[in-house]
Amino acid sequence: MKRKWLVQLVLPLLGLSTLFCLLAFAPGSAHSRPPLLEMSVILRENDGGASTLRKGMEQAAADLNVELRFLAPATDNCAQEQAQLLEREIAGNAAAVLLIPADREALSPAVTAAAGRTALVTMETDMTEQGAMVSVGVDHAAMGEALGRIALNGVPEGGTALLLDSVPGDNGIRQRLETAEAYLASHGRKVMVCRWSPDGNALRRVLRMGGIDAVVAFEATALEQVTELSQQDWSFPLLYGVGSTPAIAAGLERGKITSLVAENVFSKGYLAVEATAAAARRGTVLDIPYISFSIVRQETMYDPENEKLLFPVT
Amino acid sequence: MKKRFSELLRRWRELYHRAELQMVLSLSFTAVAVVGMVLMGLALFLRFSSSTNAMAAESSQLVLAQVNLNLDHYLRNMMRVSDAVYYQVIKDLDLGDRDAAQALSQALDLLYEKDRETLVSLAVFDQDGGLLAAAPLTDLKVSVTPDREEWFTTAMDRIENLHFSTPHVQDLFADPDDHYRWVVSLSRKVELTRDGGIQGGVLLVDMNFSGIEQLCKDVILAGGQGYLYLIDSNGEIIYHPRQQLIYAGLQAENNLVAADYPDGSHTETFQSQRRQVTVKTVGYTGWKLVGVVPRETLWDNYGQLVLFFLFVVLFSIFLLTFANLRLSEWITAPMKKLDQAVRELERGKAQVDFDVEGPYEVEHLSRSIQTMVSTMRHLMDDIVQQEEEKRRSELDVLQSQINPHFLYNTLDSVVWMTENGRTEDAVVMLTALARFFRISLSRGSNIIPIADELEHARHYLTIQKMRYKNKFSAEITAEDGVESLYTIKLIIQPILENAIYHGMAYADGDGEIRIHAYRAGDDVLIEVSDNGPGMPEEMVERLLKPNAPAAAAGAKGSGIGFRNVHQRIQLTFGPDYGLSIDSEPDSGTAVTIRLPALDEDAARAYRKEGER
Repeated sequence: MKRKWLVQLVLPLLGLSTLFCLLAFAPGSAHSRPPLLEMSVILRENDGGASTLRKGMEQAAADLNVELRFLAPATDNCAQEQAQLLEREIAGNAAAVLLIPADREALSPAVTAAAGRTALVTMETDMTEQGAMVSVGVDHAAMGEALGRIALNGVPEGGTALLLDSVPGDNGIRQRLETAEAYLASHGRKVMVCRWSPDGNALRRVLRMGGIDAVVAFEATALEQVTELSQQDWSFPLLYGVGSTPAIAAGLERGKITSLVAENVFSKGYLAVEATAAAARRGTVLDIPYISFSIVRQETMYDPENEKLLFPVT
Repeated sequence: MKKRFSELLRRWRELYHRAELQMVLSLSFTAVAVVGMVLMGLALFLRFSSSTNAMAAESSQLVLAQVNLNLDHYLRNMMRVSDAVYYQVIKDLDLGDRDAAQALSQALDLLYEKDRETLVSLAVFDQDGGLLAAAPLTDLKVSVTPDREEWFTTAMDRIENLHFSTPHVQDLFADPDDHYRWVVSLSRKVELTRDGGIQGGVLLVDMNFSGIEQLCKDVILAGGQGYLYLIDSNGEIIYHPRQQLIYAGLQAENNLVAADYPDGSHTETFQSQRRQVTVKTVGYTGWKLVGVVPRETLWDNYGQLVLFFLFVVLFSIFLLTFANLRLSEWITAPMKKLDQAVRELERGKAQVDFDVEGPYEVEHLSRSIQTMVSTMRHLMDDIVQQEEEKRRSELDVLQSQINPHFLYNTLDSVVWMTENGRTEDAVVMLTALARFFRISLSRGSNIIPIADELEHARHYLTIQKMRYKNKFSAEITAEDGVESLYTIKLIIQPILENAIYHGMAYADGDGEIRIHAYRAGDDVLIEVSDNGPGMPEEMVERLLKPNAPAAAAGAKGSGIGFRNVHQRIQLTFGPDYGLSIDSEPDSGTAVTIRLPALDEDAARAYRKEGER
């Protein structure tokens, strides 16, 4: 009798539970988007909002349901300002921070402090030893060597190559410069390093001294500005550099830039946001390979692969 | 395997035989219902899945058809621009005229302005690649050689057709603003008139790629999880929502394979993902619109649907199981009540209620059982009564075995003989007496051979003849084979007693008693006849009457009587057997004992427990 009532009580309960589950769990999509993630992006310089890098970041943000907040120091490449911005974001409980460091050494304390409190990823300059979860960027040593290699063609043995130090401090750009310097020096070229300023006065002073066979810029902003400068001077030395903006492409096409190294900036931005989102949401560290780059000359700039690098479809 | 199956079957049978009827019913109902529900659910689900797939495919096809329409309209618009330039401007111009170039430029400017949102440039080249006119920009880049460009060479090769290129960055014109635009080039060979002569040339219309992008960009497939891309006839991507990621190598697409699919829906596996792919060819261009819906998107819904169906089936199973339990309980309740009543009866309960209401069969069963129990009770009562009568008869027999009067009289005769010196007669009488009692007791057996019974009668007659001073003679005969058959004991002697006391007592030496045993079919008949005075009919009837008083224990003779013998025979062998008396006054008396012919084996059945 007891068993009978037990069975006859259990069964209706089971049935009711099933009915409840039926009504409670409405069909939905297992592929529902992850919750919105607010991500702070601390740039190194103000890019005007239309750069390919930013477009790549925004594509990733759209795909991954991330809201990006772009922050740039008032003064380009100012590490102290970046540190302040970082500290402010941490104090505001930022869930994720993507940082393009201007100076590794100067930012080290801030990055170390921030690393324990948020998901922090750096781009362009590797700060994983200081606590960043991932670094996204090119192989600076390889890029520096590539730049040295292309500049080698324009600088005869014993000639002088002028390297523009446009982002002073301990960073990836600097690493490229140092590698290129070592490469050129090892191949019997004299190397001068010039601190770059946007007004170009320092460069002009050096060029006036003469003896410079080639100028090498190690990042897009500097290359753009130098290209602009070169348009005004028909005796400007051969120009090499890194970048893939329309102005740089135009400079290449006009022959103002002899050869350049173009990296896939769109994918760099995309991957950086993707890595930061993964670190913030799942605590996982994605294995991001080095961003690829290519050497582009005027005659190859419209080759399909280079075309996509220089003129990303965004 | 076979052995396991047999073992399983055996266990199943055991379980079945041990299980209650209600459990068997409810389990059977539930099993059938579950199987039915699962099969039905599966069929419905499969049907639904199939319909959903078909609907998804149809939906994708409809979307693609619409996009195709829009794209076709867009491309035809461009083709119309090209036609307008060729047929309304170039055809009417002789380039040899002084103002021809300017007129051509103006016409191109006008047409460009009309569609500046979608056009990047219009240009006419001569057969050597020389620029004749262009809008809006007119200066070619220094490094450009149009006659080596693919759009130029293809147009010159395919004379009648319009050629659509894949997207590329326009690098023809020197743009002071350094704008680099992605375009799709529409080129055709044209006939240029110069000084009355016809020359070949190429008309180039560069469409802004963003126009195509706008048409394809916001297309929603499968609730937002699917997407659409555009490829040319070689599979090269013209538009893809993840175009730059593909160019960057961060994502891959199965575009080259999709180029070979005919129009319609297909299923493909790409990078371990199953996808539903719908293809639609864009007329004239040979481009293909490819709609992709990842199967896992459909499966998300399927997963939820499977869960939904599972819940429905489970709920139904629980409901049915519950209903089956209640139903089977209601059905089997009368049978359980009946079973309970039978158990009570088995335990020996005197009054058991078999009045059970229920289906016809159950009620019929309960009535039948009730009748059977009642009949059984009556039969048992009859048996008890019969046994009681048998026991009384046997008790009488036992009592008669040591009847003191017969013994006293016989011993008295022995004493008298001894006193009178007739010791031999005394020995004979004593010997006959001993043997008489020995057979009477027969070591407690109730069934003895007919030979012993006749021997018993013989010894009795010996004693009585001597006592009655040989007033009568006696003869005992038996047919061959009869003496080895069996009978209950002490059936002849009481009849002899009766014959002697009522028939031979008044004989004067001529009394005769005959005993003859013979077979009559399956029966044995023992006839005891005498030539005495006979008995009237009423006396004959009284002798065998069951309710007439038995002979008193103190009367002459053994005291058992006809009635006792008749009763014992009938109690033991049935109503077909017993005594029959044929007697008339002055005609003697013949008493026939009818018994069944029992051999030793048959006689064993009538022996009581403990008898040998």
